[in-house]
Amino acid sequence: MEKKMRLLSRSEELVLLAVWKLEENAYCVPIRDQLIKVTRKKWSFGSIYDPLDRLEKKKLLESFLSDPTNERGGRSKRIYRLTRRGQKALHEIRSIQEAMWAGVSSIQPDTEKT
Amino acid sequence: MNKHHTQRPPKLAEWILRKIHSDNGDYTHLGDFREVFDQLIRSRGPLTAWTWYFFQICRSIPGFVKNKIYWSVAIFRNYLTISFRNIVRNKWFSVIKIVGLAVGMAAFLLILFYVQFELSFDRFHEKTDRIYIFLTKDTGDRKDMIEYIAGSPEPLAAALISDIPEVVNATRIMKPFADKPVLQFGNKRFFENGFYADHNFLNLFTFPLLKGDPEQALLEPSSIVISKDVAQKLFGKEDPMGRTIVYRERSSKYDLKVTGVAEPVPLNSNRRFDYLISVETLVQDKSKHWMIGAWNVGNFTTFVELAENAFVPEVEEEILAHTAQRTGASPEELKGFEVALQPLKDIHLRSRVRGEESSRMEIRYVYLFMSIALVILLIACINYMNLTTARSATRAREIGIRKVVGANRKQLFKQFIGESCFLTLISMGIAVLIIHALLPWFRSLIEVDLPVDYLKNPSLLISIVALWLFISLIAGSYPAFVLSAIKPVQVFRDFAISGKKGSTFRNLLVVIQFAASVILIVGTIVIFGQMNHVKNRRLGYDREHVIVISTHEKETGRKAQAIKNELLQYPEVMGVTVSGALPLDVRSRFINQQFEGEDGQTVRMDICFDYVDYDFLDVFKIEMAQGRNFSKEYGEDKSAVLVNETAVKQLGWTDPLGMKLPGRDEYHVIGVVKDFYFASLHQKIEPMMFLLGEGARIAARVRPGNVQETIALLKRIFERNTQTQPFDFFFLDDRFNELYKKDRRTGEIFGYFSLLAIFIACLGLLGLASFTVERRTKEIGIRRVLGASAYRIVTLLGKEYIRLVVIANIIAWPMAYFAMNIWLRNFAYRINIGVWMFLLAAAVALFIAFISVGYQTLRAALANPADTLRYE
Repeated sequence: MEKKMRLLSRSEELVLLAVWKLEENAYCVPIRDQLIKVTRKKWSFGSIYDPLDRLEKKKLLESFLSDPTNERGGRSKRIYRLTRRGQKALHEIRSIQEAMWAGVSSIQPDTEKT
Repeated sequence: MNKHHTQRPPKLAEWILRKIHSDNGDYTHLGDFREVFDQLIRSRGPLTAWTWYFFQICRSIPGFVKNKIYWSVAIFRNYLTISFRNIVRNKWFSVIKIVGLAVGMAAFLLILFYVQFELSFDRFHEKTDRIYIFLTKDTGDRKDMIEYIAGSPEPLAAALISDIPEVVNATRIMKPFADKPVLQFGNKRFFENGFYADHNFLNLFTFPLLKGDPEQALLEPSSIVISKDVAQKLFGKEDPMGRTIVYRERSSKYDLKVTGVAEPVPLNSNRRFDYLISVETLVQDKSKHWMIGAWNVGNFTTFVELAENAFVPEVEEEILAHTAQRTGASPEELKGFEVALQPLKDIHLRSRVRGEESSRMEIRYVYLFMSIALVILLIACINYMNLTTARSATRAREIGIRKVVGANRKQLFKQFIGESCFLTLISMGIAVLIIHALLPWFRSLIEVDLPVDYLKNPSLLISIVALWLFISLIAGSYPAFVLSAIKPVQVFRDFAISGKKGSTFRNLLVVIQFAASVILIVGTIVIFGQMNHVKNRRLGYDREHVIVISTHEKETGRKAQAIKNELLQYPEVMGVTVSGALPLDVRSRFINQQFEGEDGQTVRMDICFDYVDYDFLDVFKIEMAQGRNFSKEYGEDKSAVLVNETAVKQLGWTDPLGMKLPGRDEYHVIGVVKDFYFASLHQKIEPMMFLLGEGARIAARVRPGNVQETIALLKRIFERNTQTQPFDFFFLDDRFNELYKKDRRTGEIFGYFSLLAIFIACLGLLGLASFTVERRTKEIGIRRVLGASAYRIVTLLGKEYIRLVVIANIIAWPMAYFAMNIWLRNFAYRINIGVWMFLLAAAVALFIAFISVGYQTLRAALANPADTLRYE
């Protein structure tokens, strides 16, 4: 992959990964739950929609509507799925990450020293 | 219930979310929020869920909105900058575009305001939709009598209320017997206009009182309600209520108590008054008993208020059915008798009453004005469209770049519509300034003190805004369509776009523009020709240098003879006559008058008549065709009759002298006067006759010269002989012009506005020509270098436009001919539409086109090729 790769923002990365992990059930609510669980931070809906939109525009994600369900007040879910490009991008991120981490001994934040 | 209610997310928050983020109509976000909301209800209860939902949405708003606003502001700023740069870069072009549109819109709005005013007549009454005027028509056996009369008998109103269930209320008014009654308080005397009105008049119609009780004011006999102006004139600052005014008309004199002061009557009211006198005053007056309770006298005008759901034709039928029973007329007598209820708001523009047309507006004039206004607007819009698309070449690169960068057609369309909104807004601002600058002139043109008060009449403001949007969209959409269709590939491939694309459509628009202008020019020529025809037509009498004094009271009338005799002693006065009619308004009419026929039997014919004295024909210089004038030498001449030539012709008399009128005391014809126009030129000359008798008007032929002094003399003599009535006079000439006021006014309005239309069309042509010249600058330069003369170049460039104007003429001629023929049909005596009129219009249009194109092309042709070819 010699082509210049577009770097994704941190939140985009996380969202992309979350979509991949959730597989069939990747829509806003579980994505947000997942992110909250992992990062232990508050994620507003707006902060999820935004990266989702951007990823879709970059053609890394594609989306379709599920059938409307009653529990959601009769609204459909917008379910996201990675495109081939998205998968490639995710793969690339992972290899970059791993390449960067290679040879680094494990880090334990030294709480006592400070 | 309550539980169910709290289990739904807050409506407001839901609504906000729906508005700001619809996800293209799928509302998936709404679903996401709802899902979490439901979870929260289950885990932590409704209150938390509610607050959470609400705050989440509020927190999301900035994110949602920021994007939208940020980008639209950025792009909007860019649009604005670009439009502004474009305006400035092509200064002259923009000025032509904006000014042309501004002038067009100003003209359109002025006419629109006027038309709105005319259409607003009598609509200010609260009950206007339910009030009708009572009209009758008695055709008898004759089917050709189509005019209604508004006269109705005194007991009608009360009978209608009691007989017809649909009639909720009815009110009567009656015009005074004199043209100008006098109101007097102390030694202040004024002529005022007003009428007698029923006790419920102020209840039915909305004429608010400043002082007094509308329910009570006209209840008592000898009550008078006066307008604020009259109160001011008669009483100054004092309180008029309860004061006594002396009222005088013809033979009556009443002492009236002021019971109310009315607000000024709106200009758009058909019945205008300075005072109202209670009808009860007439009922109490012994000398008026002949018309009270009588079914055979129709002095009143009756208005009825119908129930909300009344069906008018049904009510008319019902009234007719009751007529026989009320009046005691036999079915035979009622044959051909018709009743009509005309809605109050139709009276002004669609009056069905005979003789009222001339004082009122007519709906066809409203249509005429409106169509001129629309034509002007059309021309202005075409200008705008043409000039904008002609410049498309200069915008092509901008559009190409935008498209390459990713703008889609919809966005570009929006951009150009936005730009046209912006330009039109500037034009509108200028247009409003023009309107206010021209308003005094326009008011004197239409002879109406047109109110333009945006606060009182919000519809004016609404029409301005509506026009702005309408023009922005209409005039902007075609250029937007054309410009947004430009293909970037083309723009960058053939570097210089010709701008020739769409020139066919542009030419078509130019043709339409000029065709409309030519129609207006022809219209103007025909209208002025007809006006001139009216003015110069031999009327059969001399209307110059005649001063007419009106006597409004019987007492004064009795002095007429004395005044006449005294006047005759002065050298300034060449002749005096006392008569009932003037040569231009013989209106009284005998229906089915009997005449002795040629072969002995009796012939019936309607004939106009009036009373004149011995000097009438001399004073007005009316010539005799046969026989003799009234003369003192033949004693009283009481049963002598003069008829006009038309009467003789229609009766088929070969020897009219001595013919008799059976049934009228052996009246016999002593002479025939030459035909003269005793009514308006709209009508054909009808049969007419003069009888010897008394009249209320004193007409004096005066020596030309110092008119002011002569009037002063007349006034002195008049006042020496009379005590009560103020001096009231007019020139016969003015009265004559009054008859054609509406025609003249239409002609003037038509003339001015067609001038304007032509002006705007020229501006457009000027712009287009300058554009062509600019586009072909290099071509011209090369032609010049190769030896073409300036003349050749001017013809080369001008040819194209001249051709368009010629085509426009050919299209416009038949249309103009057709339209003007319809208009001329209103006149009984009219000019023929001549070929020269069309040729003149064509010449004018060509000349103007030549001037506007010629200047531009000549400049280009005379430019030094060295300069024009230097670039590149």
